[in-house]
Amino acid sequence: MRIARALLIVWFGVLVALSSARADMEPFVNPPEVRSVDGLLEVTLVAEETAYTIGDRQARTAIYNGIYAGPTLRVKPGDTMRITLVNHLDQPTNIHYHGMTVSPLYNGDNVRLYIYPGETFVYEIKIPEDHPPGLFWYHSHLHGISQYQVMAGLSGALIVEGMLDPFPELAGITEQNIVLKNLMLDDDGELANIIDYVDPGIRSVSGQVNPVIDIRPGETQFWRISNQSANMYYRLRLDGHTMQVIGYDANRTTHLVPTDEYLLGPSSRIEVLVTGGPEGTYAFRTESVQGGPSFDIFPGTVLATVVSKGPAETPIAITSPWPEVPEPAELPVDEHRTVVFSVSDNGSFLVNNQTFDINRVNFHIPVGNVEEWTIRNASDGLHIFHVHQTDFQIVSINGEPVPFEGLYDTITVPLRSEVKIVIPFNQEIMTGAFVFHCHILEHEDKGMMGIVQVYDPDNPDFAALPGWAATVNTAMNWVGFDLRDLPSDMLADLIGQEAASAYTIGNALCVAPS
Amino acid sequence: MMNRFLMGSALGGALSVAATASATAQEPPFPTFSSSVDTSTFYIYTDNEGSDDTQNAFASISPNLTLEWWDNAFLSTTFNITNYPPAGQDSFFQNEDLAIDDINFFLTDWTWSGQVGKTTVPFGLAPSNAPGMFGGNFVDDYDFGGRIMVLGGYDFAQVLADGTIGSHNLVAGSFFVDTTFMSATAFGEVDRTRLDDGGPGNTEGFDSYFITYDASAVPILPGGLNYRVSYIYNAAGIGDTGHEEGYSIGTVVPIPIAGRSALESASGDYIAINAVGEYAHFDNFGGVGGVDHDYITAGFEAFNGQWFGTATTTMRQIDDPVNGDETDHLYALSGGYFFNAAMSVQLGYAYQEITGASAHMVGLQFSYAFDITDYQSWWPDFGKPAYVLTNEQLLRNYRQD
Repeated sequence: MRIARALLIVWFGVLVALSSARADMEPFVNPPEVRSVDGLLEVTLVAEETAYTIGDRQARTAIYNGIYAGPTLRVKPGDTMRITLVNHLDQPTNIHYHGMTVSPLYNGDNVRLYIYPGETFVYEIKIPEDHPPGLFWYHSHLHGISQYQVMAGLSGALIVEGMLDPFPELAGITEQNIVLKNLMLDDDGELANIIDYVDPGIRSVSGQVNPVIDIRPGETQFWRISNQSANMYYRLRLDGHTMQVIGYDANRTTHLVPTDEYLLGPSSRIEVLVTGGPEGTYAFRTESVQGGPSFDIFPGTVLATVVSKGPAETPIAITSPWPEVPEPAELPVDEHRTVVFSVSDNGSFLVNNQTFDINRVNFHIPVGNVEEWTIRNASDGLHIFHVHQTDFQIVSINGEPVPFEGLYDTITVPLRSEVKIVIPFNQEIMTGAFVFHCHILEHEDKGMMGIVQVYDPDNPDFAALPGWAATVNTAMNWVGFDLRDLPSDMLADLIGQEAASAYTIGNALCVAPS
Repeated sequence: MMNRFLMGSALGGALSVAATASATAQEPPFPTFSSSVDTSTFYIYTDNEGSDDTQNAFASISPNLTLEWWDNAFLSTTFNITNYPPAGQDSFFQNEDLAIDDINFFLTDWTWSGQVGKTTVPFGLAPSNAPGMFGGNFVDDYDFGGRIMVLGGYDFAQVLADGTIGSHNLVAGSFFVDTTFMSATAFGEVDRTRLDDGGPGNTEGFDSYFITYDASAVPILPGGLNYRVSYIYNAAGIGDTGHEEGYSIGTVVPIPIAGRSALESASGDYIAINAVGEYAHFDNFGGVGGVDHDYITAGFEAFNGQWFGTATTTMRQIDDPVNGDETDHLYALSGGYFFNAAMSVQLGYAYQEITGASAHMVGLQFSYAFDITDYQSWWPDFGKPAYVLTNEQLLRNYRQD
């Protein structure tokens, strides 16, 4: 009897401890949103070193508008985004609109832009009417320092509405915007100068450390999960649940794809339906992750705690017809190309055995081409391929055909492996120069990036210009003056040549060495 | 991050210090500076047939400094703080000293490359790739480190196929054994090398040379095939009776056996094997006329997540018309565990027969590596790169004009 009473007291103590632990945990909160109004999203993003609290740490890093998770931008197809970037940092920065099929030119999704300290820059991006809906994100993309700026927190979610529109039965379900970031701080709470390959730092969910996500048993929720970490992989699991994938990288799947564990690489997104399990507490976790036998190894952790409680609901079954997803691999292939990711003995990260060169266009591609690219990983570490301005279909991995479940804009290439993808460069809006790279940003910063130039085949001379000259100079048009009015010495200085002249090709203004 | 232990896991490789990762960003900020340190601590017990057993404990601490001025041009320096175990005697962390292993300036545009300074002749793959703690015991005979060298390279794969067929680099250079102050250790444990010491390549003139065809990441196999064909000519030093000449052909073959998906890779649920094989031949080895050496090395290293194992064997055939022919054998096994990307432990065993005397060796190695600075740490100025829109500043300048 005495033992039983002692056990009861212990059990009561455990319950009190658990309930107080639950009480100490923050409820999950979506990051603040800015929505478009009447077809226009107008927002100012101030990049600034800001003090904030994350978990039990005081931090001071470069973030947008004082929000570590970043404000979520929410738009519709056909909208215009007018985003004013104010740089209050002591280093240049810029913004890339990851996954969007928009123009890489002018003040659009142009990663060649350097917004210098103290400068203000207005991005204006027209989203096509037929742009796919889904979860995108925006982030700093300044080559050489992108991993530091993204790890500091210069990123946020970008949602193009409409992912659930074909399924009216899902209308009004709770949406959770889960932004995954990891942050490495030094003892002073500032961004660590040295990237730690052992300790993953603070792994947060929308700026919170292990928050509580509430769900009711049987309730169907829509989780948008973006990996906005600079270098970190996540092996995502929700204990006791099977997630139903509805979108990869902001591309609707061909059907609901069940997954118990999903490898979410840096920059990748997954949109899933989650149906609350029986009343109880479940861990939303990442398992331990290895970058390969010669790369990083990080332990697993609980990212968030999911509490299923309250009145049970009937799970929602999708009864609406699933929209058809066109399959690029069914189109005739115009060109085959190969991209080899490798690492040199001295630690350089290479594309086709070269580090990134801003003056070298790797591939000239006439707009309209459908191309099959072979991405080879000739190293003992993971790499994740990403190409700007377009999506692609994964055709095969190591010769094994991959069933078509939807498009992606990222693909992890396993160790010592090759992946074949089909990329449609078939939209005029992507005309211009843009990049492809490994989205482990440390690798990108250290050279694992290349340039494609999509050009109008009716103006083939456009493609023959050296480096990025063509797009750089058309990009200047937005400034509001005619490039041809600039003095020649400024033109030469602009492109780093002894002499230069401006001229037109088609409707594009160009500068080239003369 | 690449784990540095794999870049030279053999004992000899660890002592001679493999190159460490360095930043080679193509964009501002320049100049950049990075530094890192590799450490290894060894305990080796040797059971010698016919003589006393020995125990040696020693550490190797290798700071690596890299200064990069502009695209693809950098100065790299590696020091080595180490103990020097006396031959045939017990030692316990004694005879500490500091040496400059490497200091060289490297320049490349990824087709042409050039290098000048004190460094290692790129001859043979086995000295830096023979797996395991003891895998390099014999092939270290032809680890031609510590040479004052000028070399140039041309990667014809860039011209033929834009780098999509890997790197196919033809490298040639001329060198001599370092006899400068850098050949001595700072505190006198190792004296400065003198011209009078003789030995192949010790001529204080660019009389020795090599030519190497180095292929890496060749997409014949998933993961890329690596191979190297080398020729070396070491001019006779004072007292030598012949010029040493040698050639080698070697390969490192990455073989994925299992775990081909990204999820399996990230879970550590894979087995990856590197097979290593090399043949090397020398005439007038060591500058002794008529003495030839042949080396045949075979080995592999296997990785299963954080575990790894290695096996290496080398046969060394010595043809010596004066002292008689000998065939030496090395059989080495190692196994270990990566705690993370920076820290590992390895247990090794080797059996070797040298001139008829055998020895059993057991060793334990603990390795740890860390960065001191990376390139963001030293960030004096932002130059404005060419081909980049200059925004308001340009507009402001324009209006002023």
